[in-house]
Parts: sequence; C-alpha cells; structure tokens
Amino acid sequence: MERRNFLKTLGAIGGSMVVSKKTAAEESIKEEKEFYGILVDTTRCAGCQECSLACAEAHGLPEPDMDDNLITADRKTSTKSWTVIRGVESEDDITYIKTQCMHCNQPACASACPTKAMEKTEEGPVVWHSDRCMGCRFCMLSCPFDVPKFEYNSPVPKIQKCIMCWDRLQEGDEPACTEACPEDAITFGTRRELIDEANTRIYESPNDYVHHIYGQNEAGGTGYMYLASMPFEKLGFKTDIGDKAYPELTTDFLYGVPFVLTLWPAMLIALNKATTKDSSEED
Amino acid sequence: MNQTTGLRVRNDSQKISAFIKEELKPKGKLISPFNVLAAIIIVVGIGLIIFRFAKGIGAVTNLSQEFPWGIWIGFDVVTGVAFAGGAYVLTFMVYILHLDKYHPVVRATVLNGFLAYVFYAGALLLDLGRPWNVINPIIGNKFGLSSVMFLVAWHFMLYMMAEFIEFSPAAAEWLGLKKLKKILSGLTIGAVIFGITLSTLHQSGLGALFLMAKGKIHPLWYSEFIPILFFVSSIFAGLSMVIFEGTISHKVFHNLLGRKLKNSENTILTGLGRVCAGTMFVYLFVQGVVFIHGQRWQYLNSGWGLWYLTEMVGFVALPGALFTMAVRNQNIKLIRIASVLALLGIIINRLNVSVIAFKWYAPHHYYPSWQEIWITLTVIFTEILIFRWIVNRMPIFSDPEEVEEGDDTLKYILYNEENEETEKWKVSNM
Amino acid sequence: MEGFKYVDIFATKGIEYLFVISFLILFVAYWKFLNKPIKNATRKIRKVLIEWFQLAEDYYYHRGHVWAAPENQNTIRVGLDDFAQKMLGKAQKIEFPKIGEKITQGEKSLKLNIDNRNIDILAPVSGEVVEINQNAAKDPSIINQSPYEEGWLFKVRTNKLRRNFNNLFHDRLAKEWMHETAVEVSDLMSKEPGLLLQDGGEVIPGFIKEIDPDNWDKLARRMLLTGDKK
Repeated sequence: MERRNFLKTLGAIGGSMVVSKKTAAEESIKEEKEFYGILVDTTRCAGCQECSLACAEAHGLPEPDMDDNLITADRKTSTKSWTVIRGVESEDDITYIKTQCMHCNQPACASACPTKAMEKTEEGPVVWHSDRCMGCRFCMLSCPFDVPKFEYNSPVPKIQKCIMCWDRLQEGDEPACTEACPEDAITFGTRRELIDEANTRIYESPNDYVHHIYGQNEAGGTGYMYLASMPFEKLGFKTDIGDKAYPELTTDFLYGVPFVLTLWPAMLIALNKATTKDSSEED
Repeated sequence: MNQTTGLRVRNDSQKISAFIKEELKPKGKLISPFNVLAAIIIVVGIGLIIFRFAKGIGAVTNLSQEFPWGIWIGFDVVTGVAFAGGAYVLTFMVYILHLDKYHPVVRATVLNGFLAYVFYAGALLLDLGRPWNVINPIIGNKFGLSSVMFLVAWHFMLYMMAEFIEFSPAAAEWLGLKKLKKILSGLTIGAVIFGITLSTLHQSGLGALFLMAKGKIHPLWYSEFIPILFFVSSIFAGLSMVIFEGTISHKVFHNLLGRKLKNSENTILTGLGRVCAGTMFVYLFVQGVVFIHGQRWQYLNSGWGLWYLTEMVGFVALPGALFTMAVRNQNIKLIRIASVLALLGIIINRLNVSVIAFKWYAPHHYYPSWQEIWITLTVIFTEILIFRWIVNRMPIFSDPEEVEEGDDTLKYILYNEENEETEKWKVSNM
Repeated sequence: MEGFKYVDIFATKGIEYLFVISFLILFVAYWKFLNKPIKNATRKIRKVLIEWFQLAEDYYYHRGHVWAAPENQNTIRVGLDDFAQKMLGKAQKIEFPKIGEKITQGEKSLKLNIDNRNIDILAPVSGEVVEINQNAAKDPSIINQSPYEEGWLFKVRTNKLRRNFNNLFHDRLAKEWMHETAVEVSDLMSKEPGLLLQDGGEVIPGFIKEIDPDNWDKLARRMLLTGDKK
C-alpha cells in the first residue's frame, strides 16, 4: 500500500510539473515582445535620400545636404545625420545602401556602457539616454560597425545615432524612414517576419539576390538586415565580423570576477599565515 | 587642565591646526629650475583644461569618430595604472610573504600608488565628455553591470580607498595622532588583501576593455588573453617603476632616507631585479602561448611584424636578460638601465594595444595633439609636486620600528626619533 | 557558425602543450641560473674610493673598521678595512683566534703586533672560527697590499647571517660612515701636514705613527674601538 501511495504521489507531482511548465511557457510567450527590425533591399533603393530627410525632420536634426556628390562608397553617419545613403559603383550601375545603427540583438555598445545610457529596449531598438551618459566613448570603441558619433566640439556633447524611431514606436507609428521610402526598399516589421520576407524574395528571384541575409547572424544577429544582388564584401559591408555576439567576448573575463574576489582573499590569508614565522625562532 | 609644563597652553585641536599651518609653508627654495618648469607647465595646463571644458574635447585633442580614445586613456590611465602596480606587488611581498627586507620602500611605493590612482582618475575626468554624470555608475540606479568599464571604475574607487588606508598610518604619525595610527595600522593587512585582489582584477580589467575591439586592433596585439598579459606585465612594470622612481627620489631626498633604507638599498634593488627577471621570463612564454594560439606567424612578415618583434625582443627580452645579468653580477647600474628599458616596453605595449595598433588600417591615423601631451604633463607634474610635499613632511623614507613579535595583526609602529623631537619642539613653541 | 566546412578550433593545442612543457623545464633551469652566485674567484670585487680610503662595495662593515663578507649560507669571511690597514701600516705578527673558538660581534678577536705594540681588532660578526688565512700569517704585508681580497684574516661559521648583518654598515650607509672617518682623519691631519705623500694624493702607510709617535697605539685603539674602557 505504501509503495502505491508513493508512486501515486510521484505521479501527481510529476504530472502537475508538466502541466504547470506548459502554463508558464504559454504565459511567457504571451508577455515576450519580439524584436522589431528593418529589412533593407538594396536592389530596390534608388538613392533618393527621402529616408535621410524624414529622419532629420522627425528628430530635429539639421536638414541634410541632398547633393548626389556626397553619396560616396564609404560615406558614414555623423553627429548631424543619423542615417545616410552611400553608393557603390559597379560596371554601369550604382548600388545604394542605407547606413545607420544596426540595432544588434546583443549590442556591444549596450553591454559596454557603464551607466546603461546605451540600452537595448525590449522592442529591439538600441537607444541612448542623455541623462545617464558620462561621455566615456566606450560604446564607440566597442561597436563593430563604428556607429555612435560623438559631439567633440560641444562642451555638453551628445552621442548621436539612429534609434529606430523608438519614440515613434511608442506612439504606434512606424519609423520615419520606412514610412517615407517611395520604393518600398525598406520594410519595418518583426525580425521573424522580415527574415521570412527576405527568404521569400530570394526564393522567388534567386538570380537577383545573393543567397544571404546580411545581419541575420552577423554579430549574433542585428535588427537591420540587408539583401543585395552582389557579394556583400564588394559593397563595402564588413564580412569578417562573425556570428558571435560581441558581448560574449567579455564574458570569459566578467564571469571570472566573482571567483577572483572569493579565491584571492582566501589564498592571500593562507599565504600570510603560512609564512608567519614562529616567535619562538628568535632567541 | 594640565598645568605641569608651561608649554601646554593650548588644546590639541589648536595645536594641530597651528601645526598644519606651519607645514603648509614651502620647504626649500621657492625658485628652483624644477619649480619654474613645473609652474610653467601647470599654469599653461590649467589654461588648456579650462579651454577644454569651455569648448569641448575636440578643441584640445586629435580625437575623432574613428579614434575615440587617445593618450589620455592609452597613456595616462592604462599605462599609468600598470606603473602603479608596484604597490600591490610590494605589499604582497612584505605583508603576505613577510619578506621584510623590502620594508624600507613600502611606504613610498604605496604613496606613489595612491597618488597615481588619484591623478589618473583625475585625468580620466578630463577625458569624459559629460563628467558631471560620473557619479552615475556610483550612486545611480542604472548600473551597467555587464560593462567591463563599470567594473574597472568601481575597482579604481575601492582601490584608492585601500591605498589610502595603507598609507594613512604615515599621515597619522605626521599629525602626532598615536591612537589613530594604531587603529589604522591594524587595518593594514585587510587593506593589503583587498588591494591585491582588486589590483588583479583591474590590471587585467584594463586589458579586458579592449576585448570588444576585435577586428580594430591588429591581430599581433589583439587576443582574448589581453587581460592575462596586462596582469602579468603589470608586475614587472610596477617593480621597474619602484626601481626607477627610487633611483630619482633617493638622490633628491637623500637627506630624508632612514638608516635601514641606506643600509639595504642595493640588496632591495637586486631583489626587485630578480623578481622582474623571473616575471619577464614567464611573460615571454605566456606571449609565446598566445602567439601560437593565435597562429600569429602569418603576420610577422610585415612592418607591424617588425614592430611587434621590436617590442618583444628589444623591450621585453632584452631588459629581462639585462636584469638576469645584473642580478647575477650584483651590478646595480645595470639594474637601473634594465628597469628603464622595461618601463619603455610597457609604454610601447600599452600604447600599441590602445592607440598605435588600433585601427592600424585607417588611412589617417591618430596622433596626440600638443595640448593632449601638455595636459598629460600637467597631471604628472602636479602629482610630483604633491609627492614632494608629502615626502618632505611625513615619514615616508625613514625607519620603521621593529615589528612586535608574535603579533598576528602586524601592528607596527613607525616613527623616526628625530622627527618626533622636532614635532614636539615645533608644536610647543607656538 | 557557418557549418559547411570542417574547422578545427583546437588546431594549435598540440604545439601549445609542447611549448608549455618546454617552458616548465626551461623555467627551472632559468631560475637556477638566475640565482647561482658567481664564484668568488671570477667575480670582481668592486671598490670605491672615499677620500683616501678604498671601500669594497658589497661588504658589511663594523665600526671597528673590520669587514665581513658572506661566502655562502653560513660562512663569513672577515678582514681589516683599507682605512685600518693604512692607519696601522705593516704588522710584524698576527695573533689569530683559534680554530673552533667562538667569537662575539663587537668583542676583541685578533691581535696585531706592530713595532712591538699590540693592537686589538674587534670581531664584526659572531660565530665559530673555522679557517685562518695562512698566507697572511706567514706574511702580514698581504693585508696592506690587498685588504679586501688576498689579505682576508679568518672565516667564521654561523647560522644567523641576517642577525649579524643587521648591525653592520652596508651600501650607502657604509659610504657615509667611511666619509665621516675620512673627515675625522683630515681633522687630525690639519694639525700635522706631513702625513700626505709627496704627490699629495695618498696617505703615508702607517700614518697614525706620524700623528703621535709616542702614543700612536692609544690613538689607533680609539679609532678601532679597542681602547680600554674607562
């Protein structure tokens, strides 16, 4: 009789664990937010720079110079321009590439920031808080894409970079750039949806695209993802970044810290005692 | 209250403030070549610093979006902290391993370590773009716990406190506060253990700052082992600085040296040289492991490869060999030469990782502006002046009393008989 | 991870292990090499000139103008310093302590017989006498020719090296002390200008006899701290 009761109890506990696990999982899926992202299809971009203009208007930045001559192959964002179009020439064509913060899944900048001024939001965009920032520029050092820009010439300097219109997202709007694009070259959505969409485009027109979504896995996956018709190295993308999330480069060190803090004092005290001479040695 | 001697006319706090007022007067000539040079540097430096805060960092530095960190971080902070490593190594040897022969130089080294960290924290404030937010990692509620810099910042602060406690018995002695000194001396071993633990973490931590700059630092200097390399090299960096700085200050302050120090100077230097030699041997092998692991032979055949070999052979292997020879032959002069080479090697190594080999591929590379260099010199000269002020007044180079036998808490009372007599005379003659 | 080709992430492990094993072996050898003391014969004894008197740089000195130099873990070599030998001049006979005799730091240990007067010399260290310099016994002028090398006097065995040396002058302090001694001598000399040799650079050997021809031994004992206690 006892054994039966025991097995019954075990079964009841086991059963309830399975049931409750399921419930917990369901709950977490409901509450979990998925990262938003933006898909950039360079085969569709016409280089009109409407996205740049809309971004500046939406965030109070100075109106960008729309001169075509500025669209160089290595053009970078600046403290006055969160997103820019750069252009890479090839044979008889120019590929236009929208450049801005990549909003990594595991951003180097957010993990580097000692004050959480750089923060990865639940929705996906990586934002910057002026009230927290010390101006140490560690985010700039750590970012594999060299995105954050610093106002060196201001006594109250800010870090300037694309925030994927996180403020607009709170209002229920989509980012200013994706709203403004006339060619449907940039698409806003969840990362999951965007990867599906990108794969669909590749599948449907395999000769128009390189079979790779840049940003799907690079640096552990980024919010901004790219499609292109020629190899990404040729278009000036960094292709030696690898798939490892950048903060993981520091985990070996940081994970060891508590052990040093525990073991060192213990060893030091032991050494101290071990080398203390007996007072009886002196005569 | 006490009328036994007519001299005791004032109470203790009045005595102390009068004493301090007297101590604030300069000792020695006001106009000397060094003082004039220091004055020029510091006055112009202060002007530059005011300009920096008025117009922004870009007005006085060559920093840019491509190069966010320059010599203020690369030299002032990263190299400076390596040089200050003598404090944790020496306190380890004296208080943990009980190698009493190094006792005479502990106080000066701890003082130097404390001042170094204070001034390099100050230099850091100059480099921060928004320094008013520097309290955020300390008291804010948004701790960037995943950040190596957060860790380094906290360790800096805690370490400064530990160094201050280690140094405070000398200050208490200077003020004649015997009871306070006794209490502080009892805290020494705890501060030492704390300090060595913290030092391990922030010496390696400064290296860990560069781990996420993978791809931006030349593969001959980047590896996941940078923290280990920084930690090991900080040992001989610190000791070489003790040798180098000792050479200078023992000459400059020769009239303040205690008997024990004068008696054992060469023995101490030889001993420190021996530790440096051994550590550099080990460091070369650790670099070898990293070299093999990173398959770095493919990079040797280049300008950078040559520069890497120059650093390793000319500024690590060579001073290591010189130390070895000097220790075996008891050649003190050679020990000093070796220490200078070793220090240069550390500067080269730290600057390589943080500035020189950083973005080695960039078409236009960063180099420091004259203002950056000048402000660095301002920080250094101010630190030297403070060091001199303290050494001229507090018992730093003088003899300690014998350690009390059988006392586990290492309560040691230091005083210099001559100093005490002068103190009494000074105070009582107010 | 790409996952399309074979990538060996432990490619260098073999070499690394071999490298580290060789390090362990080499480090032991290196440490031994670093700490091996250079044989006394091959190591040059560096001397420095303080006014008129030579000082061996690494030796330990007693106020009584005797030096002590450790030969190894428990043997110490003892001799007369350059000042003492120049002051006294050539001895005719040396009365050594006996082998096996226990001497004490700061107590009289050895007698020099100079011009029929006896001068005591203090011991710089405590311990047991284990060897006597036979060459010096046969020809005491060796002490004057080479007070720090061939002119050593005797060897002492003791376990308490650190204890012994704590009370002796060394390094910078020794130089200061020798300097003070030289100042004392020049005070004496100012009363007697004929102490320096013709070229004026060196002192006459046995200059103490020139200062006070009658009572030079009393003066010598005062300098060597072996005078009678009053």
